Amino acid sequence: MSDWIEIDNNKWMVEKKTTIDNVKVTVSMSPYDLPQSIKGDVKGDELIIEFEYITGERTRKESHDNDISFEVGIHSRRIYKMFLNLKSLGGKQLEVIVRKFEELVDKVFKNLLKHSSEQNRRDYYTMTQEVIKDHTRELIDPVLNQKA
Amino acid sequence: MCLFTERAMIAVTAVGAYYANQDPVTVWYGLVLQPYVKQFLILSASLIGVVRWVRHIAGHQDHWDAVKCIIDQLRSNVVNKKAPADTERVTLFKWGTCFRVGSHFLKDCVYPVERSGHVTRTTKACFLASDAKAVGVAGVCWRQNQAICVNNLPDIDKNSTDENIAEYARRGFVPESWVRKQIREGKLLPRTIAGWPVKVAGKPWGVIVVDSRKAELCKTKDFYDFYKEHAECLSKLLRRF
Repeated sequence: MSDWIEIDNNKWMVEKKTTIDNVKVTVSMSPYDLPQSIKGDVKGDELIIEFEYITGERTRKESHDNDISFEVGIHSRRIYKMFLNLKSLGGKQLEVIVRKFEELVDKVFKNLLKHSSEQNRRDYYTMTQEVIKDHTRELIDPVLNQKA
Repeated sequence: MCLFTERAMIAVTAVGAYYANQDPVTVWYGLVLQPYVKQFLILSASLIGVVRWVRHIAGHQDHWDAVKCIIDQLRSNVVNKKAPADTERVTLFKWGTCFRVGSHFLKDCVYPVERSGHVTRTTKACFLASDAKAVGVAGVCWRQNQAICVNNLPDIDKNSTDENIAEYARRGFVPESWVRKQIREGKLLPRTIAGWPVKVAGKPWGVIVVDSRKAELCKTKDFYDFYKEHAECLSKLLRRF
């Protein structure tokens, strides 16, 4: 069982200038969308990436493709868990696993962004992808431990 | 008041039930009360049910005291504590249908349910907040589902020019008539308005609006810190309302 990793959200707690109904305003990301911590764990043949937010809610599982599925918030659509098929991270060398993990994450978020029209949803996916990228090494640690 | 009514009804019902089980020894009881005991008991039980239901919907006073405490805490986090209570305020708005006396039911709007401090607590502000149209920073914040801050709004008073009033209305997402009404009523209009979403169990519930007479007061970091500390608690308190 791996530990929760606290996320440094300072770079996401920023003000952005934008225009709403032709009025210049300052907008910031909803604090409910900022994950506070993240962890990676292996259960069976899946690597599970878990996110923790300031508040919780009821979730449901949604399949993305054969390699990835999600557990998302019923109302907010926040990602609470990502299930990655370990077979898709095949290989024993660290570099190979990291590369395959990054490719998989890139693919899935590219697809999510393609299907999101709302700007704040797109910002949320971009931020989540970057959070995963920033913690790649810690997240795949349980995979390496299992293969060792 | 609800609590008192409920207790009074329980007491009266108990007395009624007591006499209903006794022999009608007194004439007045036999002649006047006895024929109505059954109806009286049914009516009392129904009233207790209604009072409890109203209390459930309106929320227990202790819950609202806790919500006010959290709202006051936010005010001291983002606004200078020594600032006048009527010019630097934090207001919790709930989304839903509101009713204003002399007006009508307004569907899809945000209306105030709690406010920091002890003044201007009788506000009747109510802003439209639907996908199609949103009024005021509170309404727009609700529609956008993200934090919004508008600052450097024109300083408005009774001597303000039409251009300034129009500019204030445009940038504050409110009709000009609303701004003029505030001026007529002698109210001080804020120069910075910030709206932050409030969610309960992942579902949008309402917005928190901070308004200030200061031209610049977005203080994003302070808001994030506040949410990190209090969002879960606030969500639990507001869950039943």
